Amino acid sequence: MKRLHAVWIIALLAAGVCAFGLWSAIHTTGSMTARIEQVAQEIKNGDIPNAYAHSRETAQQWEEYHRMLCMFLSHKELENIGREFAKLPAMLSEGEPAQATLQCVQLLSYMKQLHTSEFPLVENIL
Amino acid sequence: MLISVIRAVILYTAIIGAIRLMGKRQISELQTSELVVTLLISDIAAIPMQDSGQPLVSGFLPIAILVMCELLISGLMMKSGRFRRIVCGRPVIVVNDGKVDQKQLRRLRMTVEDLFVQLREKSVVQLEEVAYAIVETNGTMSVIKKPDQDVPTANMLGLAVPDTGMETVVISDGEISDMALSLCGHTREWLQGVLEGEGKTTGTVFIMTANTKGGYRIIEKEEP
Repeated sequence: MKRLHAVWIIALLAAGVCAFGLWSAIHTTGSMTARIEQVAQEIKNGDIPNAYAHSRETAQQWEEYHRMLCMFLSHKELENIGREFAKLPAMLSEGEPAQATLQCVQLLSYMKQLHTSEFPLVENIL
Repeated sequence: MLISVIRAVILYTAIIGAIRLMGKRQISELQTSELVVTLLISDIAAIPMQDSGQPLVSGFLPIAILVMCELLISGLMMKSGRFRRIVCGRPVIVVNDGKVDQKQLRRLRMTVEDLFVQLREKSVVQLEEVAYAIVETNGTMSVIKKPDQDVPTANMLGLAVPDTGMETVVISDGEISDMALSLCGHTREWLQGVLEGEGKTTGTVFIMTANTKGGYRIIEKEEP
């Protein structure tokens, strides 16, 4: 009977870890998507100094989220995304707004992939 | 590299915990589901151990789920005979009263050589000696010899064998085992009395066995 209690404890822990992983993916990607969209909008409006400042904040924010996400997701994948985030302020400081816009599109695509990566979808399961 | 060492220690501890949780059956004869779980756990644990880029949770979680499934299935097997038969199958009689059941051998994809290897391992050289040979659900073969071919027991021969009771190792390499002492119904005081009577101390004893009838045997440590 004690072992059957262990079944319930493991089931609860597993459910907790899965729920936390899912929440982390949704929360972080949602927050990062909003920040990238803001930077993209500022670039579009020609407000490069603000876009630069926000892109730096976005990269720093990603570093913080990275610590939590690497508990659930492949470190290699997260490090690649981190490198892409780091490029954005450099592009803006070098005066390449068109490149920075493309970078924002790419980052939004990464966030979309990451957002769905923890969902129990058929494509993720298979 | 240090990360790999730490991860290996954590995963090793987790696997020991998992095997302990699954019980002693996991380290002896394995049933189908137990074999599957054991193979999978060793494979899953190897991935985060070797690749520090993989989150440790990606190893822990599947191991925990496999342990959970194994515990659930073994619990259900204890409750339902039908479920046990679905998961483990049934024992199959391959030799009945010295006659080989060829249909069952074919069904088990067992060759005559395989059968005879198993019989020889049970000290059977002639089929006529066998009353039943049964392939158990864990794949081992139980061989029951015909009564006239079996080794006679003292009871069959009407011999009175002295009962020496259960013998346990109460001192091993100078270490007293309280559990062994209680198993053979003795106390530390009894042990000290015996050692004093023999003019020995615990530290000088290599092995000391004792039985429930009060008998004991002492082997002293040899000089290095």
